[in-house]
Amino acid sequence: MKKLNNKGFTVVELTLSFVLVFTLAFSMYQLLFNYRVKQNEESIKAQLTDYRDQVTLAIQNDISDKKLKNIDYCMMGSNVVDRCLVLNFNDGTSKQLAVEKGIKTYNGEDYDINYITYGGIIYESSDAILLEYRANYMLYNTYESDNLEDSRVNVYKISIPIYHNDLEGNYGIEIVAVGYNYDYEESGGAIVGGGSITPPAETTTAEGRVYNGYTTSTNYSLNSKVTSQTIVARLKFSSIGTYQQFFGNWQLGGSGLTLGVSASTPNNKFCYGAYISTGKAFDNKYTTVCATSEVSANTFYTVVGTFDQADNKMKIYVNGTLISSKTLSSGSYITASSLPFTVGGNIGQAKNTSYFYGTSSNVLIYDKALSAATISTCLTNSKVDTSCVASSDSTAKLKVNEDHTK
Amino acid sequence: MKKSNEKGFLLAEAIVVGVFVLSLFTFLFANVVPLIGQYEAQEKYDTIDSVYNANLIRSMIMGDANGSKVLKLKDNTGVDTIYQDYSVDTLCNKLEQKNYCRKLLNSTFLDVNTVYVTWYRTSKIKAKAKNSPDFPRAVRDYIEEMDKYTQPTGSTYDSYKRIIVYFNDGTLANLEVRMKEE
Repeated sequence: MKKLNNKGFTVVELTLSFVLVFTLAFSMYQLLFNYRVKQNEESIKAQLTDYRDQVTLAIQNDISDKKLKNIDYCMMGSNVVDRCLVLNFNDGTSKQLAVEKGIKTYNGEDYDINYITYGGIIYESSDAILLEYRANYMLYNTYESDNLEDSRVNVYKISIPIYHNDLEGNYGIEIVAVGYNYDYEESGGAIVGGGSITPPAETTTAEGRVYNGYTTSTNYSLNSKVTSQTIVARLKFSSIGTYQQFFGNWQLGGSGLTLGVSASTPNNKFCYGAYISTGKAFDNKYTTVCATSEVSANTFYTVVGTFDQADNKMKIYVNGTLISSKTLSSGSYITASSLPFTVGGNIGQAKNTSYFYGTSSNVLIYDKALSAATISTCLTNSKVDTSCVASSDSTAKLKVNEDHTK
Repeated sequence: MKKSNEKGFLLAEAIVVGVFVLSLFTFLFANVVPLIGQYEAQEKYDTIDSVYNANLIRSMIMGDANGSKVLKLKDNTGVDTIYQDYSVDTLCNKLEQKNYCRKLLNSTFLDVNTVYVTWYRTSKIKAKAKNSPDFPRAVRDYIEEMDKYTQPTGSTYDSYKRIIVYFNDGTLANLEVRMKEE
């Protein structure tokens, strides 16, 4: 018969076994505990994210569908209402976004809570989350941008921080929104001002009047969208080969006459350029129509640009002859510019290096597109005769007529 | 009578078992940890905020007079560059509305790290990104995880592009952009 081994475990073996089992059990417990904490955190995080997304979606949908105009603080009389914003949309509606304080009873106890209201709808998350909001931690900040090229556009940021006791970091709402103020171009509708502008600063040389800088009209701008226009300049260049802006009111709106398409393409050809839009957000594009031949220095030209929404065309005439035209999308118009018209340069450029070098005898603007027949008769190489333009056509809204042609 | 064996395990046996257990743990670790990492990374893909914010960038590029130049993917000789990556400065300097671009993309607002412009169809960028050191790891992983897109029905291939936006908070989003032909 086989003899049994009755020795059993030694104390050392038992101790080692216990230590090993205990270590394994402890590690397992730690692991499970960590996952339990993590699962709890993820659950809270999911609810916070869900809550945040509900509010974010509601706001973002309105911003996209109704086109945000601007964001402002809520006012009560002359006082700003704390923790409240008004979102104004281009369809004429407005909605309030506010962080409000309330009391909620949970398990028989009253708790201070914060909740978000937007457009009269109260957004509450589940009890488990909402009750644990830190009091007074939900605030907002907005940042408006400035110095943008298009004064109708503003960039905003809405921040509503949401913190949770069991989580690190901010799970709040962060919405960046671009406001586009259509009112800017819908208001008005008529050309502002009229009459003559102050003649540009000048230097007398053998060539006549040379504008090395620029000047602006003080009483003439097109602070509204333009549906038809004729812009005229009679001038000669003392030097060519560079991009020159000689008459216009450009600044992501407006129109004007240039030599060349842009600083990068100074092609010595007359161009009529305008910021054209069809009214859709962000479709405001600088559009040009250019002559086909290069100019010569020290030669007078009469250049005319016309825009007419009736036939959706931009046209350029040189010395009374139609040279080129461009067909635009239906319903296009020249976007409003807050700048006054400038002779000899473009004050819409922060660093204007595209001055006009030469002599200008006449600049004119009409608030309708003159016909080809009128232009070929009245605005030619031999004359710029405003009296020749039939009164039924239009009278010049702006003119500098120094009449020293040739 | 046979004497019982009281020798215990041999060193070799202990080592074999030890190696076996270690291998098992290593295998489990190597397979589970990347899954957790992948899950955490995917939390940053195409979030509501990142998609909306990418759409603001899309609208900005499409509405800009120079937007079509930014979206150009073929060089002067017609060679396909597959993708172009733009930091905030390089992107904004190419656009006409530079101030607007800088303001929108800076840290106060969208806080953009890089904007990638590529073709609408994702096969080329996916092939390019695979194990490529040209992309940060987060972007590379995102491109690999991105849905596969092919040419839209009835469209001209070259008119469709895609932007992939990598934000500084680590979130990523991609959107199609349609511009005029290359």
